[in-house]
Amino acid sequence: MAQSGTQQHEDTTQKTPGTAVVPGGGEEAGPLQSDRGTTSIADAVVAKVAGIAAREVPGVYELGGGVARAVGSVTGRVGLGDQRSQGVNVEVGEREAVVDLTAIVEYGESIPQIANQLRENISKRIEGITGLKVTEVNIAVNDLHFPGDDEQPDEQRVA
Amino acid sequence: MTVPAPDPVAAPSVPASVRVRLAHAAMEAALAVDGVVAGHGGPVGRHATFDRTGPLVGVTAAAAAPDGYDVSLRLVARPVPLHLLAGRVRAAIDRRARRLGLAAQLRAIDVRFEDLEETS
Repeated sequence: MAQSGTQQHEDTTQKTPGTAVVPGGGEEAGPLQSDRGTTSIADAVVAKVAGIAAREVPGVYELGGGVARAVGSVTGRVGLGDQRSQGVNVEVGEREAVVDLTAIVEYGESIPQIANQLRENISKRIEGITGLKVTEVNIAVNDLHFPGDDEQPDEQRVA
Repeated sequence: MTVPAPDPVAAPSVPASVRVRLAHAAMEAALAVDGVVAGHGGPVGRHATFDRTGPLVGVTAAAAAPDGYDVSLRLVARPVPLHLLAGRVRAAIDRRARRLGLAAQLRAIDVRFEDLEETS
């Protein structure tokens, strides 16, 4: 299950030496391995791709739990942080990535269908952009959004 | 009484080392590749090569036995296939190093993508 909201930027990528590809070696070299040096992708990059891909799915209203959205709102206002990766935690290895996602879904949408679309789109985008294979996309739907939730009450301020 | 400013002409002109020249060549070549936006200083902002002109952020070169240098780049890129972009960056650096006569000293080129930037 996804943990709530704030994004981790821990550097979990394991570096291999520049000549890491061993001909006939046990493990197959991924697209990030090269005999001219290593290619590595920061967690922040994978989280951002996942966040952008998640927002492309119709029916997803917002990403992140209440705390993440409140913090993201403040940090976004002062120019810190990036709301595109809000609500996304990732673990990135040499060849694979795991994504944990917290989302708010529009009321009336099928959550199982949205979850499937999220897994498909996030995996497609991460694999396409980073070359990492996505082994898990764990999704926590922590709220529903109802039409009209965002409308401000039409209060009269002057007589 | 005022102290006269140092005369820049009097300062001896020291040629840059192979390490610094390789770092500059690598970053210039990388930035010329479509999809690369900028260098990135890494989590603590210290991934840089320092010379007389100041820090060149996003690249280091370090001696690799017996007589070469490994180059390490940290980059901000656009959301394009990054594993392919890394290959184009390496090819561009190889070409630039050959042109500058530095190819014999160039060893591994490690590329790390630190952030993505969408262009509107």
